[in-house]
Amino acid sequence: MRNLTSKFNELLIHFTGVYTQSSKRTSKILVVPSTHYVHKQKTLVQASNKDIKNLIAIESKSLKPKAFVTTDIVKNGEACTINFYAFDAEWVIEHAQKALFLVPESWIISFAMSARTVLGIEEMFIANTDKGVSSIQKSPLMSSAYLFAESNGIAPDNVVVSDLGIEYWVYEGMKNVPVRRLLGMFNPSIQSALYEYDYRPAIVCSALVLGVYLGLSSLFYYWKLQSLNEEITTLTPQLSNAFSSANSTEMASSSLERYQSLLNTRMFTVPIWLALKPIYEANAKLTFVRYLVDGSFTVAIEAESASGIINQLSEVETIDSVTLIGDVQRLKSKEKFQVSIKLAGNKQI
Amino acid sequence: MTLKNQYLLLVLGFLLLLKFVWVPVQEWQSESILEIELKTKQLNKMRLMLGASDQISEADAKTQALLEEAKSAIPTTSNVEEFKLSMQQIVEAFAKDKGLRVQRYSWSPSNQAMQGVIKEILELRLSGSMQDLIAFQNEIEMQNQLINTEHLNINVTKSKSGKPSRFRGVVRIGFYAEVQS
Repeated sequence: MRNLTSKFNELLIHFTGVYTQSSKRTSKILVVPSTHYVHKQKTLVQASNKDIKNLIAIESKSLKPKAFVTTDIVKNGEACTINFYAFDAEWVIEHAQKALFLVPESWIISFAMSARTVLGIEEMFIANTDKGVSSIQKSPLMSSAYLFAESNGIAPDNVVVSDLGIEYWVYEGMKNVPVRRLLGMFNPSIQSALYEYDYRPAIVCSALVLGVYLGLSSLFYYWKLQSLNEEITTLTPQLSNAFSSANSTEMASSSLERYQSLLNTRMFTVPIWLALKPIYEANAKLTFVRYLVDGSFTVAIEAESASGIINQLSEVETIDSVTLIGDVQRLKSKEKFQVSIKLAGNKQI
Repeated sequence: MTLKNQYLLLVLGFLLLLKFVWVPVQEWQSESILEIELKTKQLNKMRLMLGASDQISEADAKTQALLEEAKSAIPTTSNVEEFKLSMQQIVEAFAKDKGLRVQRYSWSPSNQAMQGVIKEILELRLSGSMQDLIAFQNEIEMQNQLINTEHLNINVTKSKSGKPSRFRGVVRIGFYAEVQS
């Protein structure tokens, strides 16, 4: 017995009226006493899987919210019997926070005992009748297994008296349960119920939302960059002509500017001879002409009146300025002087 | 594991996620945003440029035409001495044609007028009638080629008939040429 128990050290067993093992909050399988669950049975004569699913969904909803619901589906040809077990959530959480399988005591014992038998163990008697499993604690009034068998309509031949504890019979039941039916007792919702009021779901949700945001925004930026790169790559060859034209224009403009500045230095000296026409008309004598690269002419003149000549020269349209240079020398009836002349513009005639 | 430890682990996990996932991704996103802004500006400029490509080509053609016109005023030579000789021959021909007497000529050292363009100055000592001088000057300055009278220094002597007909003096003429290497 000790060996059997040690093998099931993760198994927490409560049995109606009998507390067989101290509470282990890490137990994965919890045998729940009948005082802490409600059993409901539904039978479908002709049931498809869809009907069964719908029925489970409806019944589970009606049995919640303060219960963990497990189901045991028994198929017999086309007919189907569904057992719903609604467990007291508070009691379950109090006794086994890590429990994944919630096993009703009557259900597991039914697998340990043959039909229509009575089991007498140390503390109690258990009867497996057509109506289900029932148990009673030993007492002075009910001290014999045979009496209990008779009260349940079971023949004395079908009484099994054992000195083994309830753990052994639970273990026997576990061995006989088909895996598919045991899976029906699987109930992971205990964990989520435990954390109903903690912050983990909020954290998980926030992380999820942030993750989705991060992923989507990153995808968007990646897509945007890629599309921009693609567009730039597409436009670049088309732009090469425009760029070469622009570069060519820029270089040509720069060269043109330099050439034009050089061409603008071109000076014309011929216009001075037309501008000096008043000197000839006044019968004056031109003795010296000098032209400098700055565009000014220095002219030495012998005339009757220096001021008259200067006035006449000033009135010539093509002359911009006339400046007397140095002294005016008087030579008998003539005046000898020099003027600096600047032509207006420097136009070729 | 107690609930408290689970909370601490959650917080630790959250912080690790922040450090190794959120922050690097955010940094990458910030860089991406900057890059997107730059590339968008670049793309806008490219589109503007493409839109104006016809005008750019037209402006280029006009500028090139103007440049060619400007360049045509400055002859191109690969041999400066040959250029000087040809210019001298032209000037001598003009002077002879106009009846001027060239008493002496000489070339001044070359000047760099601008990058790739040199200026060669020919100094002529001339004598003759003023009318011939004016005709000679007119002939020189009517050339399409860029030729500048750099200096003119003449003494005029009046003929007995009373007209200023004779001169003697120096003329410096500048010739420009683009040198091809």
